[in-house]
Amino acid sequence: MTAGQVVLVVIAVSTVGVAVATRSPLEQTMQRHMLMQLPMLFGAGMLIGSAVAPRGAVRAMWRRWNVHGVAGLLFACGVLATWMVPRALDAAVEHLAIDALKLLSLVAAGAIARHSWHVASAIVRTFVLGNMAWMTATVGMLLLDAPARLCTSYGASDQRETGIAMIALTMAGVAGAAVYAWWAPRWLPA
Amino acid sequence: MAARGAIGLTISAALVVVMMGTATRGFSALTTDTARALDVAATPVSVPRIVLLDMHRAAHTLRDEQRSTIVDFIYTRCVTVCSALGGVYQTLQSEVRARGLQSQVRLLSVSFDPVWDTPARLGPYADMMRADPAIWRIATVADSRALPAVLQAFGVRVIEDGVNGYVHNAALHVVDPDGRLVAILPFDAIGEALDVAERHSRAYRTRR
Repeated sequence: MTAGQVVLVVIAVSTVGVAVATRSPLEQTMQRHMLMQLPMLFGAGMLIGSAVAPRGAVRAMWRRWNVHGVAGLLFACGVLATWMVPRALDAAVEHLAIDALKLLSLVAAGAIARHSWHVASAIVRTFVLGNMAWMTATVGMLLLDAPARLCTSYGASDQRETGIAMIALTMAGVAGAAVYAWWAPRWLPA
Repeated sequence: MAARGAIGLTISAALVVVMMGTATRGFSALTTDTARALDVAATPVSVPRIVLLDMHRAAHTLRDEQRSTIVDFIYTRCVTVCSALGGVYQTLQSEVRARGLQSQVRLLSVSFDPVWDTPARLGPYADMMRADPAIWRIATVADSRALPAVLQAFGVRVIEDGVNGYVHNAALHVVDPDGRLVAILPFDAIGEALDVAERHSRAYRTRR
């Protein structure tokens, strides 16, 4: 392992550690739960994916089973979508075992997404980003507009604010992707 | 290569279906409340046998052996969802009278804040609500240690709102004369709650 890889793993492991240690304050509001804790865990997974890459036979197998990274990216999007379901959020707050499952699935999804993104074509990348943007914006609008509370763990104003923040983050993400595409022309098909 | 790629994609898709299916109770519920209502409708649950005290310190239980009970959970300092529930219960009370259901259906409001809502404080609240004790009792738990089990059985989650009050889910819970929670309905489903309650008390009498 190079020094760079060690640093990435240390950052990732400490991020997960911080997320575990601050579980109750982070899960006390919907905003911190959805917009801080979930991205922290997924991001830690991506860092681990950057540091640790499969080699040799494993790498060849990964490429054959995960053609264009589609299978891996589908799984990662599925994990993110699952933890946006209000019932799943409630269950994670109430049951430690489900919260542990959330942690493991998000870290795994982050690592898998990192390695799938690497082999994905521009078309697949654009599709995945577009789909995620659509999904988070829709969830945001649902949270903003819902006439009743959707989570038994969180209040109505928290829910509305989370909705607004999700829409804002989606817009920022789309703008960021557009800037990235502008600066890295090979990223999009000619 | 193409075959293994397809298998990989199929495995991934299957995992996503399993995860989403589990999270949504087999694609039937997005929220904890909906899932709980569907669970209870499919399999009624016995409610805990605990002692409740009304404004006169008279003991009651969650179960009435003659009538179905429509239960809601409140705290009297509440100015948001409980005021709405108070209005709903006033309507329920007049509907019980209008339909002549006094011997079939009773109403019970349970405070989950026994520290503030002592029997002495429940009196003025009951007066303000014009609760008719023959139909509608307002009570709280005699022993606050029994409260978590009750809230758990009914699927009610109470969280502190940070300004000395609570946030809680509001619903109409129908308990049949056997002491089983048979339905959880939206708090504005007044007609449906009465229908369900009446049906279960009739069925109970037919069985006896």
